[in-house]
Amino acid sequence: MFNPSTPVLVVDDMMTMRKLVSKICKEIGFTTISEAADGALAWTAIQNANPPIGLVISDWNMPNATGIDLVKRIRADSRFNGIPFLMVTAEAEQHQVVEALKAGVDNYVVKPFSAPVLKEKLEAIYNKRLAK
Amino acid sequence: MSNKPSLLTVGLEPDIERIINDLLEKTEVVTIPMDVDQLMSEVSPPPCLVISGPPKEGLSGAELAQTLRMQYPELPLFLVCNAKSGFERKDFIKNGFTDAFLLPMDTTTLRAKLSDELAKASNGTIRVFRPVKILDVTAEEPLDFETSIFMPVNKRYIKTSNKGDAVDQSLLTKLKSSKMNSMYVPAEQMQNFYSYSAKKLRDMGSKATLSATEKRDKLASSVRDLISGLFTEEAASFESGQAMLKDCGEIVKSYIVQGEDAEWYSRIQAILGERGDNYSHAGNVSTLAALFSMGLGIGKPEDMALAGLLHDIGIAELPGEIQIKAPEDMTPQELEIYKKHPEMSINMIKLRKIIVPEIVMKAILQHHELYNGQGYPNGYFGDRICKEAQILALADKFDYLTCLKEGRPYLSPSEAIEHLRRLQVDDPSKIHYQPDLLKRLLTLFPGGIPTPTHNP
Ligand SMILES: [Fe+2]
Repeated sequence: MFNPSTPVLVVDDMMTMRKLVSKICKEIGFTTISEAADGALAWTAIQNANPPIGLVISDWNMPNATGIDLVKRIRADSRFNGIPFLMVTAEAEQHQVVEALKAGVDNYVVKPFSAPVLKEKLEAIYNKRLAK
Repeated sequence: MSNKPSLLTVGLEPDIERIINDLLEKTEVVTIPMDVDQLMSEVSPPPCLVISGPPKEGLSGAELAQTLRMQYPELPLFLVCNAKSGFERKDFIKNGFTDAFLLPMDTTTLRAKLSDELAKASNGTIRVFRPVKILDVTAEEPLDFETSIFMPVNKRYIKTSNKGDAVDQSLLTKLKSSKMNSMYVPAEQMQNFYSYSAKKLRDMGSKATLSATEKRDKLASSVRDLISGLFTEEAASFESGQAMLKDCGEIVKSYIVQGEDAEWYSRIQAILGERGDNYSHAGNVSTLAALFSMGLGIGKPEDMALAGLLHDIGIAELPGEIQIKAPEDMTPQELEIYKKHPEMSINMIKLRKIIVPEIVMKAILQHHELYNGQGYPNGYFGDRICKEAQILALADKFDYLTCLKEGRPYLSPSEAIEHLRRLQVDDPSKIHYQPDLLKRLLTLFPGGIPTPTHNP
């Protein structure tokens, strides 16, 4: 599983959702968590982060840059294209996950989700990356 | 640890809080303000149900819904508002609420939902009972629902039969002789009660051993029984009266589903259900029209239920400012437009390619015609108006008179019936309904039964 000290970036335009996801991350054991309010701010944060971001958990629908925009930017930049990316989707967006996976998302989680579900998803990402 | 089911309320308006507290007696309530940090902290004891006020303090509806849903993935989440502005039921539900209610209109449904959910969540510690009229109950026939009676002295329910057992003969005799005329069924078993009642009604209409007159009398007396539920003490308040009407509606639905027209009816319901109104005039009129039809042996209950559901769909096509006004408050010009709605309902049915029997179309088109020829759209008078339309008109009027409108007093069911009768008797120019039909209809209502002419 991810090292607890892996810097996690939580991206969501809804303040409550950011807080909730951060809270769940803490529950899972992560100790270094930062937040961004949309895809554009997240991209800035990723470029400036020190130590570098090791995991992105991002909402899909956001102003300025969406989750898809963000993952495309990350995958297109050789400095960051290895960062694991978990997309948070609303139930209504589920049929579009193919688009997200094509864009380079590692996995997705459907709102609402609980701590165990998020943990499961992250483990899946970690193990899959390890196997490669 | 307390085994009382606990409920969490979030940022409720004071007047809504009062309504909720009235609805719930035996429940522990934890109250928190609409505050993000508090929303995300654990509450103790853990709730089994969450009721939230409208989103505020900078939260959007979607945010509130999703936050609560994340925090309580498994729980029923209800949103309760008392202002129409910003009340988007569909959106609230899409974002995670189980259901959303607009008070005071939805009080009945909210009460019913809350009781059901609490009963479920309490694992039997809370039981909710609904007053019912059990049609044609005998000591031989097992019932697939539990029955109880209510003891006003100590406010207790006493079980009178188990699910699957028949009711005791001595109890039936007592029920018949005394004033105690209501029995109670646990809320979670109401569905069985609905199907039972519907089956009884169907059997009565089709029993080969009964003559046509006997069938009609039996159906009439059953419908009288059902309708009398609307006049009992429990129904005295607007909310519980509406709850009883809803029960009748469920019976009618079950009745239709057990018949041949099942699929067709649910399709229409699906079209209308899209609008998502909890309190529905159309639903009430549909129920009443079907009951009147059964009780009087006029028309098919299925047709009348359908006509009731569809009779006013044309109103949705009128300009918004007319839709929200009561006809008595309209300007003459607005009234002219409003009077087009029966024809517009017909047009919409045709436009949506809903196939309905000719008689349903006719009843809808004529539901505002009056016996004295003063109605619209055609000003037909006397027997030119079909009986089905008159039944529909009476159901429409009855619900209109008894329904709660903003700032407008409503009549109790008995007052409404009295009003209908007086109107016609006192002023011959106001004969709105075929006199014989109205007379027969009144016999379906308590107090409207003609006094026996024979003396002991
Ligand atoms: Fe109408």
